[in-house]
Amino acid sequence: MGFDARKDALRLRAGLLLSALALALVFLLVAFRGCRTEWRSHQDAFRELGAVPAGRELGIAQFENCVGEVDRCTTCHLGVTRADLAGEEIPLPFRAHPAPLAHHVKNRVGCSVCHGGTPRALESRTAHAAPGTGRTDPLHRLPHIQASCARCHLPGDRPGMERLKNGARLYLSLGCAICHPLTRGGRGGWDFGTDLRSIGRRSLAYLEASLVDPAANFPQSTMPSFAHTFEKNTEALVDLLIYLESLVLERSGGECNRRTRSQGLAMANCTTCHSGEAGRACGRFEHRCPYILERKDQLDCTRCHPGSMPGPDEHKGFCPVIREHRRGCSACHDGLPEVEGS
Amino acid sequence: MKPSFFSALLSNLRSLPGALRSGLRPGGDPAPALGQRMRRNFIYHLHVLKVSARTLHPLTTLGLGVITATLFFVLVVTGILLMIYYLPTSRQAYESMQDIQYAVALGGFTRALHRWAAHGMVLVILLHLFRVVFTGSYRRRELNWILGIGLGFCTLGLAFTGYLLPWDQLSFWAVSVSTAMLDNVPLIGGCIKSLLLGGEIVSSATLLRFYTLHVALLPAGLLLFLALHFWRIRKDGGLAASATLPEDAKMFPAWPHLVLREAILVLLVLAVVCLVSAFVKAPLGVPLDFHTPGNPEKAPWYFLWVQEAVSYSSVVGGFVFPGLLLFGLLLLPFLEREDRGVGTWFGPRQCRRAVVVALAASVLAFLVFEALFVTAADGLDPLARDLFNPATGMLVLAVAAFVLGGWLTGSTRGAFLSGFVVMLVAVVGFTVMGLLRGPDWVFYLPGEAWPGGI
Repeated sequence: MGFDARKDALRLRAGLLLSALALALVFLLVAFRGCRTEWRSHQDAFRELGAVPAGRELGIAQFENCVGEVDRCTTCHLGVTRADLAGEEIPLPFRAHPAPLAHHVKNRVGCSVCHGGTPRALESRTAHAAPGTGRTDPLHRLPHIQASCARCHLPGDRPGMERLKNGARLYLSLGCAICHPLTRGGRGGWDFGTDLRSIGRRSLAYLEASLVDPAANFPQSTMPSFAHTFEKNTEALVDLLIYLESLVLERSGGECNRRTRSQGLAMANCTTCHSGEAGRACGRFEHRCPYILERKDQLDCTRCHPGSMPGPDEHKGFCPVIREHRRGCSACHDGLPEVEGS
Repeated sequence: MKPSFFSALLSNLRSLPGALRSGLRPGGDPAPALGQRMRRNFIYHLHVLKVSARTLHPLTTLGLGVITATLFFVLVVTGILLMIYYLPTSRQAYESMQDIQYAVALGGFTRALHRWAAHGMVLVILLHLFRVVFTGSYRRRELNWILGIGLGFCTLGLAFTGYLLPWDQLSFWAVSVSTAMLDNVPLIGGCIKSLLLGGEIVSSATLLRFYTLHVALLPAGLLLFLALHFWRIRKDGGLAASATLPEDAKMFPAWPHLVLREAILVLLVLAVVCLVSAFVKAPLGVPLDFHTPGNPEKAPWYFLWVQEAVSYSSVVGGFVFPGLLLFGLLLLPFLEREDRGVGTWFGPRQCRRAVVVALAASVLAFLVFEALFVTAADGLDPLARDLFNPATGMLVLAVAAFVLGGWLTGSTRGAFLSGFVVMLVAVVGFTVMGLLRGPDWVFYLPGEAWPGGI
């Protein structure tokens, strides 16, 4: 056997040295890659912009937002709340937020509540994608970002959510609620019509095709085409899509949202209006709800009850007028209580 | 202050290097030659003094045991680091994984290292098992064979319990699928399942149980078995020491020839696994959604063959086939006691021939069985499905190969090798089939696009 023990021992020592060197090189590489993280290079670039006072340390910026997620977006998006960094000439992760943020900063809304993504992540590819998907979150683009407003706000008269509100209005005026009501777990009196509360997961192309040519996605569909409605008004189509997208978004469980949504949440419960003494309506017919305001004449209780209002005990069943309109309520309010015959 | 204090301290400081050298050594021995011997003594508790050229040859053992031990070391170190950040509650588990992945310095690398080392370890222990079977190295090492099976169980258990901990969509449903396969084991299957899960389904109780198993019970068991495994190697005559070695064979000291070989292998394994982990991220899936399982949901790759076999027939695939395989492996060193050809790949010549024939026949039979089953399975009633499916077919073929191989070669080694080869082809084949399954467990060729969901 050609085995020379002396030579072998020498070769082994050389091999040991080489493999130790190789391992050391790999360790160096790992350390190098570990130090050169994406967020650090962004922070260096931000410093070069002259936007950081000398001597101020940066680092991972994080806070718990109003829905309890940890938001690290401002580690890279360093100028989001800085008025002096507004404008197109400031390069992108550092530019100030283009639209006014109003109370969102004070209320710790953060970025992900509206923009989606993975707010804990510190690499742009992951951070800008819905968790674990690797696909860029579709909520990044305008004007569909308005769908996110519905996570906390009712589609009412606030600046910046006009298109969502118009979408909700279209949902009601086009009669979508007849086959796709949002009460009763999404199913109406008839046993057809897809549950719209999950449809927003589909691509925009799918949703658009479903409205213009319902048979395109589902050959057996009996849904009428809305091509005529949207032929001249493509803006309206986008508004409706925004509304549909908003339905799939998780309603935020944040403190401010609980307050917001509880306003009128009990809509079409007797006590919503009849909370006065002995079931009297509590006074003035005053609402922020655009739906009610538009139908003020039909929904005016004094039409049927010119004198005093009936108390809950006197009432046989539900007010037929309100019952009629409960579908309308469900366009914006979640969790309406079940009512016989609605 | 007195001058004598200063001079004493100064002279002590001067002699500090020498004092450290001799004082920290057990016995305080100043003689270098003896000291070296003491150090070597530790090594000679692991290895015999002299080994043959055969032991030193890389193809004899392929270094699979050393690779496994190195990967286990990596797993312990990275596992302890991950334990510092990981929170084993259903609400926080995924979030803490995200923190480790994105915010902890080198956290993503540590996670990747743990993940790839774990997959590597499972793969290498399987190869280690195949090596021992194919070279007949279980002969006169019965206890170590059983200890090895125990180590295999601990490793698979560790890999499987670790699979759940990210608490993402993939891990949750994979563990749900895998534990559901326990229902096919009669009598004790349901008991084991509820003991493991802490209920009927995977829940936060399961997460805590799996965590405890993963970081305490299974590593403790594995360490115990590992110590015994190493001890038995030394006790049974040393690493890959062949019983049939000629009396006058030239022997070489284990130091440096064997020990340095192992040291180089350890360093290379560390370098490779670190390099892979630096560039390939460990995946972190979509957050868990209890209500919508993906389609298909697959078990981890090392249990995928059982899932595939269960899809043919739950009784045969989930119980009879794996049960017989395990039973055969446990009894192997007690039923096969031939000394001829121990330590040579695939045994003596006629056994080698039997292995080649069994391999060719089983690959061919596997393809035929699968093709027949795909075309005819829909028309079969459940009982016929249990009798006529690829798992039963391969099982029958394995028994036939066992009997024929034994009869034609005239040796028990030939019988067991032929049977084992058929079972191995079946397991590998089922795994490949399982990997290629698409939505609704329909078979798709590699590269063929899966239809999108509804």
